Amino acid sequence: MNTKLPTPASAAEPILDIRNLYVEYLTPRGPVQAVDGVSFSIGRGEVFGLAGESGCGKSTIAHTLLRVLRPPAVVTGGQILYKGVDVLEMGEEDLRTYRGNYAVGGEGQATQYTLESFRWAEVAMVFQSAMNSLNPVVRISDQITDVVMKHQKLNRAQARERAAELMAVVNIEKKRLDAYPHELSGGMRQRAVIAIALALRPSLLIMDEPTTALDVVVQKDILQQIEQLQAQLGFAILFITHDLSLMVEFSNRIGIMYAGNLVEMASAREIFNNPLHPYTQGLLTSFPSITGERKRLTGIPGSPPNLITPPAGCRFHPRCTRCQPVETQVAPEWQEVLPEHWVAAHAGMPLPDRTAR
Amino acid sequence: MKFILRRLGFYLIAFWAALTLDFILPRLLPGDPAAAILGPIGSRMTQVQIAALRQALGLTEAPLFQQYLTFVTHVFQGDLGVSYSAFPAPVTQVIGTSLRWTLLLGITSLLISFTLGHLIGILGAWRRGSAFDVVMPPLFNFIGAFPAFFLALGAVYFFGMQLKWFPIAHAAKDHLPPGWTVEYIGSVLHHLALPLTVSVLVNLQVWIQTMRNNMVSVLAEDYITMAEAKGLTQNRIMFGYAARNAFLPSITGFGIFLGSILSGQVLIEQVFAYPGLGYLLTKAVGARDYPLMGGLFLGITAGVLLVNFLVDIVYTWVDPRVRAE
Repeated sequence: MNTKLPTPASAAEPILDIRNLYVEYLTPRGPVQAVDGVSFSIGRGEVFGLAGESGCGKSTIAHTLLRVLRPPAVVTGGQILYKGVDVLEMGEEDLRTYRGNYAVGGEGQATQYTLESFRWAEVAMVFQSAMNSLNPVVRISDQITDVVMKHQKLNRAQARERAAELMAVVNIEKKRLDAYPHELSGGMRQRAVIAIALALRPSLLIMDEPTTALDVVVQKDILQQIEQLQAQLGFAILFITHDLSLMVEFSNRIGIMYAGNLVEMASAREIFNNPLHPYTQGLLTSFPSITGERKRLTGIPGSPPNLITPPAGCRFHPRCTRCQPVETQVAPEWQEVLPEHWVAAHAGMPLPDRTAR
Repeated sequence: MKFILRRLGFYLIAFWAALTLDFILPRLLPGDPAAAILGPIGSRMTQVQIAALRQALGLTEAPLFQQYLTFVTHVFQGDLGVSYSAFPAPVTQVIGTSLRWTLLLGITSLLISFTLGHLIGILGAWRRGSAFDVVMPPLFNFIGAFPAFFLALGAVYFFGMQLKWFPIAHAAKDHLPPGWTVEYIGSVLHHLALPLTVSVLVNLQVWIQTMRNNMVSVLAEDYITMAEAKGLTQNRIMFGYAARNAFLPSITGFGIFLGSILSGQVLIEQVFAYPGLGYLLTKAVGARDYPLMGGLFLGITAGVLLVNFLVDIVYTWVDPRVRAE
């Protein structure tokens, strides 16, 4: 359904370009359409935020990007172009010589990617819960050295040195290098995960709810650190969260997902000041503003639909306060209603008057 | 270290309790233990012989506390009395002979079933739903569902009596002198084959099921997905990340099994007339050989406690979380 592609905000050549991605979970009761024709792109060094309720398909997209989807999830359509190479077509390690994909790099050189050389070296990921994403019985140092030794062919001593450097980058004392995950505090654990993620200097870092399990102070601390590191190392970020206020502060551009669809995409400022989709508007009223006046939070009534039999037409229509008859039958078109501001809504949808704000 | 010392303290207390119980139990027998033991043939014994037996049992006229001290001293000197059924061999010697065979059968069986079971469990969970996973675990589950004595009797009948491939009793040919000769070792292995196979088949499914289930739940953890995203090799993820964690509960299971080996694989040893501790225990009970029973009881308890202590040490070594105080 999304045939037109939005142009990336920052660079002419995006680092990541997701085109019309479909992912389904095959269940005994029928396929769950978890990601239903999503397209977006991320520029070099850009922070792209992906927001939406639990179960809207955000994490599924992240897992698809790294090809770590587990059965019963299957990609049923679309392309994920990383620097022009389709991630979904990359061959496994043992097939690298035969099935390696070639891409034309920035200097006009051919770049070869296999799944093996792509994972972590190009795209790394910070998982939701640091406690669960660290192997509980292996020292932090070994969890860094194994990935460094695997990819960069360093010996143990060099890898350890690299691990120590990385720990310094995320402000963890060198002596904690040989600690086990349970010996670190929650914030330190998440910083250790970030250190592991940066081990190979990836060009894109996926952060799936990186601070949800942490308290607000540590959360702010870690986000600031990520911002610094990003300025320093220049990687792009795909930032996934359901905390829209956090995202508005942190991202360049934001995509809003609902029930497997991307429903709105614009710059962070635009999303915050001029949300067009009723769902985005609902999300924004679900979080209190710290500086603004006290208001009753309205939220969004109802809960996300069953994705085995999603609602016909606009998937949001059963919960929409401004629902029109046409929306119950015809899916809205993904269109650029304002410059760089995309929304999947019906043409007849009344746009809020910007001057009135 | 503190943890280990605390555990050691606990096991020492447990051993002391077992020791004391071993001392008290014969003295709780109604009437005269010596008379009870000698009941069937007592009339043929002279008073001197009975007194000697009482002496050997430590049932003197001395005060109870003194008897207890003597008993404990004797135990620590390795003197558990004289076996009645194998008179005049000392209990320690009788147990020692059987222990060798039980350890040979039990430990070989445990090592084989433990290793094989874990490999099948790991591979089954790793390739969940594959032909391997659909066939192997249920097959061994089916075999393991038969009672041990049934499999043992079946093996004796088919491979021993019908096909005559393997001997049906004892641990080695009777006329062969024990020693490190090719002939003797060959005979031992030949005798070991059937009971070992049955024992492995009986125990295998426990390890397969435990490991497969643990693997399946560990494979759903985020750190496995992360390891995959890190681009590590399949082997590193399967063994270094998944199996390493799924294996932890098995260590405890290994300890429990190792302990239970000492009490012998009673049924299997019985069917194959294999001269291990289990066979000895049934013989001791049948002959009402109290010193031997007491010695076995004490020896088995000590063995189980020792094994559990070793398991604690190993566990502390492989799971850093236990170390944390």
